[in-house]
Amino acid sequence: MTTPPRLAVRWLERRLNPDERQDLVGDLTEQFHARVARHGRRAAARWFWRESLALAWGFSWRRRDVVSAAHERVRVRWFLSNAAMDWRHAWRALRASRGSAISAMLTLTVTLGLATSLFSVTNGLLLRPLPYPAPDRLVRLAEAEIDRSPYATSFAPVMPESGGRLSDVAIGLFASATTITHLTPYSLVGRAVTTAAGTEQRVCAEVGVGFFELLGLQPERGRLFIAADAGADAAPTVVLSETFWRDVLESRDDIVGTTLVIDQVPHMIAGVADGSPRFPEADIDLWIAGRWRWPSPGARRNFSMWLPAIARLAPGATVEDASQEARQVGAMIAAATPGLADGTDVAVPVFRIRPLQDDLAQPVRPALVALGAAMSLVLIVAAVSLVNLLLARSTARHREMAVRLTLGAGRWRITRPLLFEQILIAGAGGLGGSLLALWILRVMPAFAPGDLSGLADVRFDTASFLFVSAVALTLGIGVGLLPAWQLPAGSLRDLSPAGRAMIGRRVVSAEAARRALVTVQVALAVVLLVGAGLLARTMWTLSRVDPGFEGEHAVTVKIGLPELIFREPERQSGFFDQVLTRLAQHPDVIAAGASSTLPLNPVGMSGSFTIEGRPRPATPEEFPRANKVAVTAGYLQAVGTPILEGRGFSDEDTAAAERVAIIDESLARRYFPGEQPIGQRIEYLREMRRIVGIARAIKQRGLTEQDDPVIYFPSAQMPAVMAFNRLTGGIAVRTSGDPLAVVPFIRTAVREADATVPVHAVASLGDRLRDTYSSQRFYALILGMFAVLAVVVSVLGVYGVLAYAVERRQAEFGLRRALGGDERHILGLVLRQVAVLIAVGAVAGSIIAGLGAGLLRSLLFGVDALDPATFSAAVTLVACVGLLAASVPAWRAMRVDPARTLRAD
Amino acid sequence: MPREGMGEIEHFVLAALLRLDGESYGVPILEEIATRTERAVSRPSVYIALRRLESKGLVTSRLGEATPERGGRAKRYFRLTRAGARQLEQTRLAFERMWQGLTPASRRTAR
Repeated sequence: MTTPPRLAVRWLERRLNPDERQDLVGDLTEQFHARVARHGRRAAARWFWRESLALAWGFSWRRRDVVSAAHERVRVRWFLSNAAMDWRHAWRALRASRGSAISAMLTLTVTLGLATSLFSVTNGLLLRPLPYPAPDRLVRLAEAEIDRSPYATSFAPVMPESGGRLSDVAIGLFASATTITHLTPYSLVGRAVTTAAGTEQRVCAEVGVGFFELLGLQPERGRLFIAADAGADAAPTVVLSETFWRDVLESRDDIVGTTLVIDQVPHMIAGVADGSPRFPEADIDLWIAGRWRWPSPGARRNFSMWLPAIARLAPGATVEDASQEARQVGAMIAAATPGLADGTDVAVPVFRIRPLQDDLAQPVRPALVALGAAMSLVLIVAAVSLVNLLLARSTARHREMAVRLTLGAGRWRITRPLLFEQILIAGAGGLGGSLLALWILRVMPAFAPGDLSGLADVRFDTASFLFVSAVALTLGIGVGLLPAWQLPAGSLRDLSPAGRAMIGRRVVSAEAARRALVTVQVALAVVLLVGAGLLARTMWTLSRVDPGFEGEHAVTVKIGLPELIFREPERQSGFFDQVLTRLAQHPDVIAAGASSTLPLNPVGMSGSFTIEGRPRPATPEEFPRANKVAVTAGYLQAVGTPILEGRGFSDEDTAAAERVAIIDESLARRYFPGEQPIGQRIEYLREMRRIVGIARAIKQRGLTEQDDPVIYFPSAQMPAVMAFNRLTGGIAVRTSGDPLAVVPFIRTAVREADATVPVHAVASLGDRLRDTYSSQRFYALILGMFAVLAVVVSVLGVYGVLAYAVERRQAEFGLRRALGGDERHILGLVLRQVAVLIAVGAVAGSIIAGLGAGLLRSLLFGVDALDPATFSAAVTLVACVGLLAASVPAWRAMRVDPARTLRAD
Repeated sequence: MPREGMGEIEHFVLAALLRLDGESYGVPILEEIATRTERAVSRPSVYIALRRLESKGLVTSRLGEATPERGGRAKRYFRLTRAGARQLEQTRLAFERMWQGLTPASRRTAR
């Protein structure tokens, strides 16, 4: 005997009540069998399925209200039409109060946008863990400070990132440490890398062979470093970054095991690193297996290379344990090194161990704190004005709510349109806010100063957005629903004059709240204005600082001379002679020269010297100190640094001629006060040199920094190893037109002299100068925008509060007028309110600004953080704009027609 | 005078029960309505009408015997109550009164 489709039966039975199963399924089955006989099994099965579905569907729907299925339909339709009505109601209410609705949406947009980007930035830059296994166990080890003994720093190559360098002596000792493992030195270097595309300067990191193992990274292709790569007789080995492999070598598969020419030395390509370890910097192209020689303890450190290092804490060890051990290592070095104790040669190294995460975030932190503080202020201003607007909207609705309650509407019924209204506002605000945040995060990196370059990696943080939205929604809906819940159960009393007075009292308390909120806004506007003002003054001062060179019409390029090839002085000077001769032939070129240190670069060499005829200082600290810069004859003219006295260098200052030097005015002031330095001789590197000129002081480290004394030497009179520094040195060219227009010519000239020497860091000197105060510009821009925003918002607040107050007191003003009060009296009444509000806000704002100004101090230049002029200007501006905003409602109050207002009640 | 009449399906179900000697179960009721009205009736609406009529007291029901062709499931027999019969009669009379005096010609104009 055939049975109905078992699946259909089971499915149907699941959907029916137990008491329905028997007869319904039974009936179906009975009919099924009849149909099998008549139409065949397959047709019957199809029929059974169809009927089962119809039965389950129809039954489950209608069974709920057996008494009246029609009733159910009505209920649904009623609910839907009510909802539609509520939406329409909400929409109409929004349109009716368009102004405040739009302000609320915009305010919400600003609030959400700013808060989301702020949290995204904080999350992205400060809180995000490093993308390596157990990131909290990674530490950086560096020398805390290098003592200023005369020879200690003389030949240490200066690296772009400061923060101390670890002596390689110490690395040898740390290798046996118990609290840290995998100690790996690293250094950031620029190298000339030759590929099919030509020779280019690339950012490379020389790292210990344990580097990748320490960070827990895997190869994408080939292998990473192995211990043998560090061996003295091993071939130079390199690991490519994924980006370099993809962009420069076009993802070629056969790359592993081939060679890559770096600084004209073939390096074996071991493999490609997976992803991109963003260490020590984000855009490393190559990692070269470091092959530092480790002098034994006791060797003089003078000519050693000093490196920072990273390591992993041993299991169970803390940062404090490691620091403790580092101090012992320092003591060991001191004990093993003769001459350390008397302080004449080198100082006892002090090691600093810090979590890598903190160390990387460290330089960004103060800037982010300032940025965060400014954003938080705007956020508060926006949030306050949001609450304010919603309060205003809700007080305006009291009467409507009272009427609707009285007419018998339920609480939920009158709440619903309000809720929908808030949802509409919040929805629009949320959408706007997320768009604003996306925009901010996209635009901000373009303005961000160099130390905030990590901003480019910050992504929209959805979690932050959801969190901020939830807070804003709760707040918005809470305040928005107030009018529906504030009123007592519906009674006509609310519409009677007495009831209105009662509403009035409630309105008054809301008024007081609004007033307080506007005061807060005024205060914060003052704070932001003070910040913006201080930075504006800083910018103004900076624009008037003489950098000591002429930035416009000058271009500088760095030259990556491979040290190995250009070790001989003749080869190096030959190269520069050829390039500079070629450059001089260009019609636009006024002057060209080479220097071991271009302006606005870290100084390659600094150290002590002595002045002929003066007693030799007793202690290292008392030696005169100066930065030492080797230049060619045309260099000072090329950067536009004038010779104030004496003469500049010329082609006659050759290696065979008398040793000469030019000092800058800062050195002259400090070491030759009241004397004529020209003609005197100084001793440097055991050679006497005659001072032939005094040059204007250059702001080598940026406009905000103090001048360091500088001695210029003719490059022909310096040993080659010191005459040029590939990290900081290069060529400067002064032109009659656009300086960047001669860059192709410079490149050609360099290529003609030596095709393997890369040119990099091409920039007009003016742009480089502007880059040095990009932080100030960035914060001035941001604070300026924020301040404008805050002032606008608080002015709107002042206006709103006053306009409403005037509206509410129409009757009172009318009465006063009728009783003979004159216009000025009424004007006084109104303006007094505003004056109090602004005065309190301004005082509070000045106090907050005074307390918070310290945050800005590191960015300020030429202006005190508590500059009274800026403070009073900010207060005056806010007061004037506030009074201006108040004048409109005040005018309206004056014009109240007594007859009309008296009739109205 | 009863305040409420019956829906069409309820009317059909009661009439079918009457035709089936006052007591029957789902399958004959469905078939009776289908053959008599020459319409496809929706199965759920018939069952729902039966339950609704039961809740109004117009029919009563009891579980009957199980048969093999029903897969061993019991039938539910519905029986017309006296109130049900009276309601059906009233509805019939109401219809008849409504139709009284209407000629085929007037029926055409109604169209």
